[in-house]
Amino acid sequence: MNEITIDARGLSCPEPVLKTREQILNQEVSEFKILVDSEVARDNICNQAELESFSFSIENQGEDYLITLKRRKKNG
Amino acid sequence: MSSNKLVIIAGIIVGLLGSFLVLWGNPLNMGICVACFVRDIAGGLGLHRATPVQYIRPEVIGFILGSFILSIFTGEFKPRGGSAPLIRFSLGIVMMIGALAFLGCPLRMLLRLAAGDLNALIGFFGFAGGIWVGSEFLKMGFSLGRSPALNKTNGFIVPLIMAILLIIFVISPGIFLSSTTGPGSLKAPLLLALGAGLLVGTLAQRSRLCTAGALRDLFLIKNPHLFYGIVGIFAAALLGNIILGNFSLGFSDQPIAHTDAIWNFLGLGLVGLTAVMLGGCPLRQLILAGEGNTDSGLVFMGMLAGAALSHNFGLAGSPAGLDLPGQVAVIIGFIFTLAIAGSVIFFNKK
Repeated sequence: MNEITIDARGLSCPEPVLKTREQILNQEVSEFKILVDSEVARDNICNQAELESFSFSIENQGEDYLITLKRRKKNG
Repeated sequence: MSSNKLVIIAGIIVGLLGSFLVLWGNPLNMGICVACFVRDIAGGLGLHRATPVQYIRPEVIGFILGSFILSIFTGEFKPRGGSAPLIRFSLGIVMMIGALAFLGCPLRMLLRLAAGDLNALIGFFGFAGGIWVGSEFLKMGFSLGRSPALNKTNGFIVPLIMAILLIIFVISPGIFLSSTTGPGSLKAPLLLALGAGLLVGTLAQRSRLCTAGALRDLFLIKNPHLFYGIVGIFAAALLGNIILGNFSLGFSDQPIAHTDAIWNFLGLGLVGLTAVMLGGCPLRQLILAGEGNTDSGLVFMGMLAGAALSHNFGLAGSPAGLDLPGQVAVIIGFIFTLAIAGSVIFFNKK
């Protein structure tokens, strides 16, 4: 499977979260990465991930944040 | 602290300040109003000549400088901008025309509602409707594009202008126009107003409080996080107003309000629609401008221009209602905004 990485840098609210949610709603996607450059987008994405049973990890890349989101297994 | 708790606490403090600033001297149900205060500043600068609404409101300066100072400390001061500048400026104008037709920004809508003004409930429905339409546009691909990082100098401009304005106002307030009657003459003492503004600015920066985002995120991503913030504002202001004896339920005889339901609905509808297209409510625009976002800085300039247009051409509401020129302006505002939305979506897809 190709690795999905979305570049949401420079986009204003709520576009980074919308792009995140597009992947979350796609049941065939179990893991993806999204690159953002603001703390607001980072926090919004992580907040949304928690709400939708995704785990996340954040990697600092200079001024940017690369967030990796993984679908949590049901009942697990 | 969990982010939900933070936005609720920020909302509660903003709501309480909204109530208490009235006690300290601000106009009734207008402890905090971003649109009204920006309009007063436009008046204070002589951009319009409506004598009852002229005053350099220290609260607005505080919103921007509070956000600026905190974002410098937290490392969130990241100047960016350059996405669709003229669209943002003109939607800032339209946003202000809508807000002044209703007589208040969405924050004042919450404060009015918390004082029992049911006209604000009609406004709330309009606001929600505008946000729903804006959210549909986002789903259809509306986007004003990316705002790249800019040379840091760009981000200092709006906070610097505010600091200069504050210094001149403190040293020589007499050079600005200042109302002797009407809402502009009712004001909390400078230090209290500035302090409250700084506190709201820092809280809103930290919590990302946004009245438009609150409903947008409910509609669009089913996320109630920001909605908790406006519940906090409303609940705290309601409590504050009851304690201060400033609660009177009804439509008529509400302070600085009118009972033209259609125009209350459409006025705030226009604010909701433009706020979603611009990425945040009027307060949020000022907070982002403080963080160095020059796109929001331009929305702020548009709001000043919109206030000037509103009062130079009699487009703003008054307790008597919204006159024909104001009604025409709101309709033109809708046509203009919908045309921009449609055009942006069309060309984004090309």
